Amino acid sequence: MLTDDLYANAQARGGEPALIYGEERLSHAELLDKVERLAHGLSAAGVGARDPVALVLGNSPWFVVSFFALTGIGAVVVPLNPQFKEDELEFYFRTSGVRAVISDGRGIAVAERIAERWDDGLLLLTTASLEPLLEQHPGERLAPRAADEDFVYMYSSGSTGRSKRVARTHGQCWIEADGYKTSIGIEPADRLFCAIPLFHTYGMGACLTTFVRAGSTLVIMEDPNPFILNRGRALELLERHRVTIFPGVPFNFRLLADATEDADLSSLRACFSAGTALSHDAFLGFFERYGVAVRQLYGSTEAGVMTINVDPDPVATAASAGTPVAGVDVAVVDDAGMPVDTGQEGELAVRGPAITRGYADMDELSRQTFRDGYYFTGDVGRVDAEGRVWVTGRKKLFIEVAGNKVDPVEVEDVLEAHPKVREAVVVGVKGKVPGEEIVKAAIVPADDCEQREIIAFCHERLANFKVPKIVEFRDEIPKSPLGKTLRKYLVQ
Amino acid sequence: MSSTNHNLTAVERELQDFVVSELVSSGAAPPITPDEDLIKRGIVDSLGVMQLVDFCESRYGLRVTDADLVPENFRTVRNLAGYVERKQAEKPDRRGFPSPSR
Repeated sequence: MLTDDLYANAQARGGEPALIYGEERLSHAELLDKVERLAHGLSAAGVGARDPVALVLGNSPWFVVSFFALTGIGAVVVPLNPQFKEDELEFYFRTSGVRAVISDGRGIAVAERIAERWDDGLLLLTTASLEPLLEQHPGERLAPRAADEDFVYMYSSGSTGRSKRVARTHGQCWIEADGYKTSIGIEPADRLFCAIPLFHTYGMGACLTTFVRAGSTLVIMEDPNPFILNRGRALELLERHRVTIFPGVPFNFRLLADATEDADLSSLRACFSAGTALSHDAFLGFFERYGVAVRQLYGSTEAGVMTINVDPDPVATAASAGTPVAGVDVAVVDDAGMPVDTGQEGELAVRGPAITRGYADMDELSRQTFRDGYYFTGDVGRVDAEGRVWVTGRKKLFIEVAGNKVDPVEVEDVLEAHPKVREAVVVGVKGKVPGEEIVKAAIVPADDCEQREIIAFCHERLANFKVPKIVEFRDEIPKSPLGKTLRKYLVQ
Repeated sequence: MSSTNHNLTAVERELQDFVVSELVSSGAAPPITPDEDLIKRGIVDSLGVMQLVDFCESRYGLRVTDADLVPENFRTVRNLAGYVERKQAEKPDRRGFPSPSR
């Protein structure tokens, strides 16, 4: 398991850097020491095995140390976006039954308000309060964890209402990290760049667990957001630390391709893009500028990484999500769940050792989504004769906003809670940055209503990136004769 | 809005009004002060930057270049106002000469 890997790294290369964050360096031995001390400190503070603990922090060494300290004592990490508003955080706290919260700044202030409504007592910890826990407790060896113990609770958006809780075990997350390591061939000498959020499943898999599994170095970018203002800093870090592997999202690569700053990125040997399809323009722009082909990978909260493009010809296969990682089997099925012929489109169904058991408290949905040993992704694609996967469409209606995925159903739920909204439909429309979307709400009002009050209502309940930037008032929502919303008429 | 308003320049006041009305809720959120870190507070994300760029370009007739997209220009209302005023000073008048600084 990953706790064992922390020990192996400290033993084999204890003096080598594990984390680089600004001017701060932490060797593998120092990382293990901090993880052990904090783990014992958290135990002494009352955090126990199987306790869900919300980790509401941005990317930093504290995130990494807290994450492995918690999982090292068998607690279950619930990583959450610090941008979430009070209603959002309370939803996640309640549905995962958190016993403690680690956060800072605004996050801890929000957690304090939620704690006032909490019956069982909520242990609140800031990074400042972790310091003494770490200093006062010995760095004693942690007990090994079993593969079937829960490691994290993460949340998956979908086309059927609000987020669904997904539990993934120590074994599943270790296997996912091993899949990254072996597919890409990551070595201890590699330096991974971390500009994607560690609280997200992609950041957790591609950066956090993989650098530990591979014994390599994680270069954490301080405050990557808003990335449009910080791309110069990203280039500086990539060059200065001779980064070799860069997992990002299309938004990162598109902005870096257009950056005015110059940088020598000759150390980069692999760039990966996930989250949504990388446009050909963004691929070509980055390739022509830096001489590195960005390869796509395909993953999900439910399964972790499923395929990675490691094709010898990354230019010809730029649009492919690559081949399945070790142990993963990708099938393409028709509406009846039967396999289609090679090269034909259908729903992508995936089988593998890193996939979750199902959604918490959603038995019927779990039965529909996880059946016959496969996870039915809801995405549409094909597999060619060489076994390469091409994701051609998504059944789920995500809106891609500045590298974040927005579930329109969640925004519609909030809008329809407004007393002056009779019906709301949320779509993504083209933004100013090519390939980017912004959130638009089409609303049938129940009363006289202004755009400003709708947006203010959303701002109080949703993270900023989810808030509609355009509100269109309509007499009715266009629908098919069968009552299905015709979203295409709203995307204008 | 707040008692600090009387110390603001016209550009600062307009930018503050825009940030409050377009980027944050007007309800329970604490007011925005001119020196408040908008990035740290999560008010200015990548989309917020583009909204501010649109506003500055249309309201002040500026051309915001890629090189101007740095945190220092967008971190606070005062920083952004300073940036706008510098750009206005650089802007050539009808004869092609830079406008005199105020």
